[in-house]
Amino acid sequence: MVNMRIVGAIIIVLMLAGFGLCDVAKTLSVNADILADLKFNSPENLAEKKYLGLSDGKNFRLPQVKARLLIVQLFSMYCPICQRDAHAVNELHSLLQKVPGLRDEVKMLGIGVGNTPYEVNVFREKFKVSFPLIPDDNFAIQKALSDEIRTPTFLVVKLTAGGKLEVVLTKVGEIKESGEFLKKIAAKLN
Amino acid sequence: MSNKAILTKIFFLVFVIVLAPRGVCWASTPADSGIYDPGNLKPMDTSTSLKVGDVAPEFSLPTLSGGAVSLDQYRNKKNVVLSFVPAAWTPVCSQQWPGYNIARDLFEKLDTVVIGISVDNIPTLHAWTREMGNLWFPVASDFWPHGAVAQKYGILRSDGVSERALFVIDKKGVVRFIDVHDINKMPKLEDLIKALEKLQTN
Repeated sequence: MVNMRIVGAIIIVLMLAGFGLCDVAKTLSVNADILADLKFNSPENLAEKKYLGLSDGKNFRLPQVKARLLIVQLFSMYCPICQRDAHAVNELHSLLQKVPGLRDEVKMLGIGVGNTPYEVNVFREKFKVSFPLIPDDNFAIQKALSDEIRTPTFLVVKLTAGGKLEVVLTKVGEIKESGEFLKKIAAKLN
Repeated sequence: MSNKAILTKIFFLVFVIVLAPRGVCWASTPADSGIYDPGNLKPMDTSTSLKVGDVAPEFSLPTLSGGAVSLDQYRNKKNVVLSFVPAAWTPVCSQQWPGYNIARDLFEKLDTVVIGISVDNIPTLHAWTREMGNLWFPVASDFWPHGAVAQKYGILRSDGVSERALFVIDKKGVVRFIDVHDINKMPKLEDLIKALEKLQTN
């Protein structure tokens, strides 16, 4: 007769393995060198430029941002989950502004994947986004990612001297809880 | 029951249990959760004979809200954007209408209503659009007779889905803008808005 305890144990192990597969599916590999080398259009808004610490110029690369950590949100105006998550993302930015130790150390940047400047602006105005959003109509960011971009995706990037960067955290899918996400990000400052 | 039969049942159970968490995994991730990727398709499969300046073909289709929608009901009241999308649960289509959803103010400012049309049936459209949030515009089913309205507009592809197409129809019922788009790509919102703005100036 089959030992049901052993069978039960096998089922539990396989269930856990199944959940493990989920995590694997969500893992995203980012080529930091390619990401550091991508050129984006600078925000047109002067306050946004100032927030990112960018000098005048039409283009910039991520390592030029003046911060220790940069949270890059890959979104699309057309993405319903990005729309649903907009409140939590705005809240994350507000939380960062409220903590003096984090305000200047951690910055945020939204990249509208496949979106034109017009489309990015529709998203900005609809959800009253107060951190910089820039368009990426040509899907340039895709070059740095191992898998097809899913929106929203968050890349937390550590900016180091010499124009380098290191991707310290990736999250595919909505953040839902801004406070919890912020704790994970703050831990990467150490 | 023999050990072999028990083991068969257990393996079936394990198979189901192991796959189930993957469903949870995908449902909790991005916008394309549950989306079927058909790969890269032939960009266009039809050539509509409809031209700017033609009278738009009339139609009446059942909608998700239970009634019917027709062009006639907007005559002399609203400009109409007909947004044909090829199929539910496919990549670009699943984002196009959520985009129009947040652009509601832009359309309303231009005295325009959007009508979303797909060849899918009502239950499919119901399940699909629930993932998009609450759409402010009517979504119509061109399921039966299959694709009849898409056929009238000359955009029913040979595999039974429609092209990804936009038609702007003015308050007099005249076609003022046509964009039969590459099925694999999203039409730019500003191109559509510019076409609507042109109606205001003419």
